[in-house]
Amino acid sequence: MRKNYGILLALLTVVLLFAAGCGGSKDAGTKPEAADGTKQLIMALDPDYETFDPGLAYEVYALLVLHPVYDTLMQFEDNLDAPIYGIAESHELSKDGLSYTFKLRKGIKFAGGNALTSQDVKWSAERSMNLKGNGAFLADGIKSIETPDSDTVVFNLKGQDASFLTKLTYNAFGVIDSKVAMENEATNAVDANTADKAKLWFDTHSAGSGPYVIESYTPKVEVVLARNKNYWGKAPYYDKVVLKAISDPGTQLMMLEKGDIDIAFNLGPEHVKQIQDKPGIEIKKAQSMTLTFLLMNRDPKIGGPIANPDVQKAIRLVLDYQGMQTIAGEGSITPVAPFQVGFLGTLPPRDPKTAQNIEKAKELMKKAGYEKGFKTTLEVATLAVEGMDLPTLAQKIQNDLLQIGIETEIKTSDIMVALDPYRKGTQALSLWYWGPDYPDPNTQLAFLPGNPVGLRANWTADMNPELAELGKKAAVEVDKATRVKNLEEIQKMMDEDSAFDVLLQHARHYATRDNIQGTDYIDLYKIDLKDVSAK
Amino acid sequence: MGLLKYTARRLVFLAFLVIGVSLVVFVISHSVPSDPVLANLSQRNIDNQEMVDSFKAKWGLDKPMYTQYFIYVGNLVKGDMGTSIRTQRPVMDDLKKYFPATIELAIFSIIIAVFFGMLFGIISAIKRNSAIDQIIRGISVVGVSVPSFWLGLMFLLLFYVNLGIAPGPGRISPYLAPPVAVTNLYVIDALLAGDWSLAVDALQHLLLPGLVLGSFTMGLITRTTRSSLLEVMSLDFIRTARAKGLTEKMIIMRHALGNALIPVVTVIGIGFGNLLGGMVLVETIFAWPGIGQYAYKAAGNLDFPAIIGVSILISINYVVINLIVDLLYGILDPRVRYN
Amino acid sequence: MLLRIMKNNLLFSIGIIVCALWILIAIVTVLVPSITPYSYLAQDLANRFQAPSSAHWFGTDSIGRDVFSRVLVGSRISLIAGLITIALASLMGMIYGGIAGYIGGLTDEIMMRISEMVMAFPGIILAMTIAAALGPSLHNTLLAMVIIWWPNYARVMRSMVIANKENEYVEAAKSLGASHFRIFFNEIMPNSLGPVLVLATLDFGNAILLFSGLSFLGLGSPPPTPEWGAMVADGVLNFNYWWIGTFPGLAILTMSVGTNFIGDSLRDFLDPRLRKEI
Repeated sequence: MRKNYGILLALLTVVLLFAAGCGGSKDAGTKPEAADGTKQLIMALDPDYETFDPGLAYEVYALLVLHPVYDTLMQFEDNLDAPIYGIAESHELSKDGLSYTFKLRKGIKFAGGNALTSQDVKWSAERSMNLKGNGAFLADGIKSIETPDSDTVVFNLKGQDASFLTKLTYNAFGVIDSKVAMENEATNAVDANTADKAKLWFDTHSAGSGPYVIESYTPKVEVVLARNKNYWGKAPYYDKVVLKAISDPGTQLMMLEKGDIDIAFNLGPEHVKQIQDKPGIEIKKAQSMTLTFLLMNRDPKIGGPIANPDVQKAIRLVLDYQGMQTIAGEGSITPVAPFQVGFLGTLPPRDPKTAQNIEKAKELMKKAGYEKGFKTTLEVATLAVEGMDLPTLAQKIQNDLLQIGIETEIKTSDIMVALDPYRKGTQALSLWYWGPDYPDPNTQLAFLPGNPVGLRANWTADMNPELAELGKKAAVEVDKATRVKNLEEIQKMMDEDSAFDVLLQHARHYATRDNIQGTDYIDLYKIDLKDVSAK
Repeated sequence: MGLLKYTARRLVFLAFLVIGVSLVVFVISHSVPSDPVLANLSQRNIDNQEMVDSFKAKWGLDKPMYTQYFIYVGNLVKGDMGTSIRTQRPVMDDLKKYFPATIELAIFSIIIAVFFGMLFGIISAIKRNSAIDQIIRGISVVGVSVPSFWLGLMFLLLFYVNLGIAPGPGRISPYLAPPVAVTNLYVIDALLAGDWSLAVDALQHLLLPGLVLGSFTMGLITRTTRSSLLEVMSLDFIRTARAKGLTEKMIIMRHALGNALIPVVTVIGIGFGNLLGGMVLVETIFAWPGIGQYAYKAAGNLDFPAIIGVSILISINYVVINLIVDLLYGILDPRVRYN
Repeated sequence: MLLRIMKNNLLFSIGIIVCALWILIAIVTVLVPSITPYSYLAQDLANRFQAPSSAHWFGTDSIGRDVFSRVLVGSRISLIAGLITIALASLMGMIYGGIAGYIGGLTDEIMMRISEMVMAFPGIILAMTIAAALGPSLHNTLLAMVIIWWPNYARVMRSMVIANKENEYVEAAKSLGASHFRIFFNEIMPNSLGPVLVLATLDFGNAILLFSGLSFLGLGSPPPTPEWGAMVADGVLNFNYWWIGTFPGLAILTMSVGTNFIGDSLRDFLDPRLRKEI
């Protein structure tokens, strides 16, 4: 009989564990304060970062962590209209537009105590260039960097670049304490690509002058930022910021409701609906700069009937943008061309109610000689864009295209398998997403005929020489009024003739506890962590 | 064949296994149309030939396949599995970081599976052909048939979202900091640090994924316990015990169970091997930062150093567990000959 | 025979009924596609995320498709996937194991070590890698499944061949001067088939499970194919609408429970020596 008791005892333990589970999660009304009174901000997100080496990081959420850690010469505040000074105090542009001279603020120290000098600025930029990481292209236009004295740094460019100041806001130009970095096997030498061994050190340590330092990083679990006691600017409110990796939006939502976290950053529109009336929660909505678009190949050998410009126009007319906005969620819009609303010179978005014109689309199909329609393949990568499942959208497009007789077979593949034919321009019809490389409309010129993305649709400059020419002009123009005029003209032309159909500019939905403030969305940083405080 | 010789042979096989597994992944990696470079450079940079070349040089992707393979094996002997293309960390470090989470979950679910499996199996055998027996057999079949990814979803929906009596995904509650790493098994580390509430929290987080992961093994163990008990109970010495007037319960506990356990050990071994494979699905659902999720991400990105690393790790585990089971078998049942 | 077994075994009867029902559904929906309440492809954005009701028994999904119709149509894919995997894997395993067992010696040793290596290889990771490399499709997923599935059959086949090789009728055939080829295919193979076939029945549920798991990870047919595993994944994406993932999962469960009830009961009728082998 003794053994029977053993079984009973074990059963009891299991039951108790369950019971403990009930107690444990039910009484968690608000986030427990840390015992020693440190003020702590907890944010849940579905992060994509793999490294915090400012010379290598280029992921969507990299700047969320790196912006408050590494100061830059220029930075954004509140909006993306124009960059303002970071650690630069003033700057001058030479008459030929090729040489930027920056004066640094005086008396800035790194978190470790060393003084920040122009040498550090130069060293950090050169390291990024030579590491050849994903963000290195931002420095492509730089010919040389000079440091006449310890407060002055000069960037000499290869050609004029209206977006140079904007590029300087990226972590590739984040200023690193070069002494500390070199102690940890970092180098700015030409062979840094193989000689630099500091990546692992940078993942769990930092050497910046920003308001926070990286205290710890556990991949897939959390990043902890702690206050930089040597910070030169206004001290941030929180002593610590914890970024929790929680990939599932449902879980983020649950934890926000229970008060376990302060910010739930990756919610879909459907999740937001559920917490609309919940007390203690503030719902935030913002325009994301991410686009979803349809690529239609211009090469008849690849695209077949798709390559016909009339067919491409018919496709633009037959799609139900209103339905797509329903799928992408409230706040999503449809720009007329690959230029995001929020950038300089972008035209107002399409009216989804009137954009669809099936009759005209059918006429165009008839004109093109495909009245009876045809069969083709729609290629799509299996991933979610701002919370919207891309293959789901592909099924909606498949459905819409049937109305003008285009039968599509959907081909899904993993993003990196799909990238190969995309790059080589061998996809007839495919669904893609795009985030700007830097917050300036010039990054969108890549979609023009003859430019990198245009060529992925085999849309060459000679197919629309006028547009290609205008694009070249817009790229180097520095006068604001002329820039706007050029950009508007480009968008109008692309509404008439384009190998792309921009389907959506997404919305970003997130929510915070209502006792915190300073959590407004800014696309580059997502949230500027140094500005967050309790109400 | 003796025990030592048998073990030695298995260890030699292990070496071949490592070579075989790494070779297979290597061959796949070099015969596929897709390119790991694309997975790991941004959209803009894949157009930049200089960037692509520099990336290839950095990861040795510009050398012929056999050279790459020899370099790999050479490093492997030194305990270096290369660097993951995706995480840019040494694969060995990544495995060390993720494996304990998987092991903790696997051990916990095996405990659940063994406990309930044997309990059900014994009850089922005692009450054979009764209604209870039919129900338990039904449960055990459902246990081996239920898709784990679906059961995980159902558990989360029911116990976490709707009833709120179970914790959500992850290893510990988000507002808690992980314990100081000693073994990287959170429950044990928390106990070592004397943090009782953290240990309970970690245990609670193990419960749902442990049940889901263990359901298959539990079904197997129930079935095996029942049938081997029934087999043993038809043997002579049990009949003798019965003739002596012992009750059925006492016969099972004192005489039959020990003998019936032998095949159960094998099943536990098989179950443990399966667990590591089933991890991918369960870890995905429960956001468990273990080897399964790591493998899933690695495969999706064609991160071959990481895929090879995980594959080697899991196959070694499989062989070692089987070896242990074989040896245990011999200890429990002296009649076994190794061949 | 079947009826006699069914009479005495409740679980077996349930298994037979459930499986027969699914096979029936699969056949009928292929022959008469209009029998489902809605087309499994019909989208209705105005009615997305509808909870189960009399209009939509299992509710609707993220683009307003009827989940009930999709579950019914999805049955054919799971059945075919299970069938093809088991058929190809057992064929491959039988030939491989048969050759190893018949030749014996060093060849046998090497061949069996290789199959053991495949068994040790984490199958789902191999399948994911293959699918990621070649692109996900039904074709590639089944290929991956066969590659990781055959060694079981090879092992069973080999031991049966070894047992039969020493039999009198084989000796007799040898003494009559029959070729190895003839002996192998006419005498040994037919006598070794039984256990392999039983194993195949037992395995059917497992194959459906693995297939749905891979499909859950996004490695099956491309959308809008109503694969059950992919539909559960859709349910995870839309966590708050429980019906999207629950019903396809129940479908997988019933089909695999059904086949396992049958397999489990069959195993009990087997002679104990065989039972151990399998």
